[in-house]
Amino acid sequence: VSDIEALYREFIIARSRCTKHVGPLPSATGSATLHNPLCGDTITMHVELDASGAVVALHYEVRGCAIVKAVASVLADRVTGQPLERVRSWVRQSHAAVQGDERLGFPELEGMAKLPARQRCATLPWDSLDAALERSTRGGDAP
Amino acid sequence: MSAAIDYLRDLGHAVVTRHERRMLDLLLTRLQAMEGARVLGSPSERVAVVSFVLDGIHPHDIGSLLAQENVAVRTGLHCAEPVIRRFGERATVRASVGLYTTASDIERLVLALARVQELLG
Repeated sequence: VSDIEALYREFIIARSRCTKHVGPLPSATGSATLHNPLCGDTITMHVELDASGAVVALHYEVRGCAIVKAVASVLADRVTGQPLERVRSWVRQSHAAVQGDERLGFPELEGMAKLPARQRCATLPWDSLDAALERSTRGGDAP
Repeated sequence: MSAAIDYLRDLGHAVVTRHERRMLDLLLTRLQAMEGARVLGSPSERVAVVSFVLDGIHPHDIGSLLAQENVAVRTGLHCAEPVIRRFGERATVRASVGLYTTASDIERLVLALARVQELLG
């Protein structure tokens, strides 16, 4: 079994099938859709911030590959319940994390360094979260 | 470049074309026989390139896993988004054959695709 197949077997497949945070979020305070024109993948990220700025809920809707779905699932688990500044700090480090940087503490994301051609698949969910947070903190852009 | 031109000239264009046609026919036959695989388009004339999809499996995931088996394909929109949309897809896998392609290369692709289906299907 190759490294890449092991990565799929041990992380990507199971995570990509997780539906815990999948779907619209009527209570969202901000939403953003990003598209990758190179592969046709699209992700819409919905976030709900409370008055203190914490992320109380995060949902996403994806038409894309298993990596986009898997990373979105990990991201959603990690971010839900966290204060805005911490989440923004993770967003800032996310591109480095998918290139293998350990600072973010996402061992699964570090595995993406083995797939340099797929880095955009792993950063798309983070970038859509960044855009959704920006819209949320600017006064809301609920769907 | 000069050596390459000499080589092709010595072989003859007809020989190259005939080999490509044989490999292309084999590739199409094998893909069309695969459960869950769909070849896009059925042109009356086709160059030695075939676009296809596997049900429920994203082409980029297919490409990454095939690369591990040393099978090189192109995946995505191929700088042709309107026509990919026309076929109702968001991306495809594209395999090509050439003078150096052998029947065993095509069998390797088919086996690798079956392995991908087993893993992700």
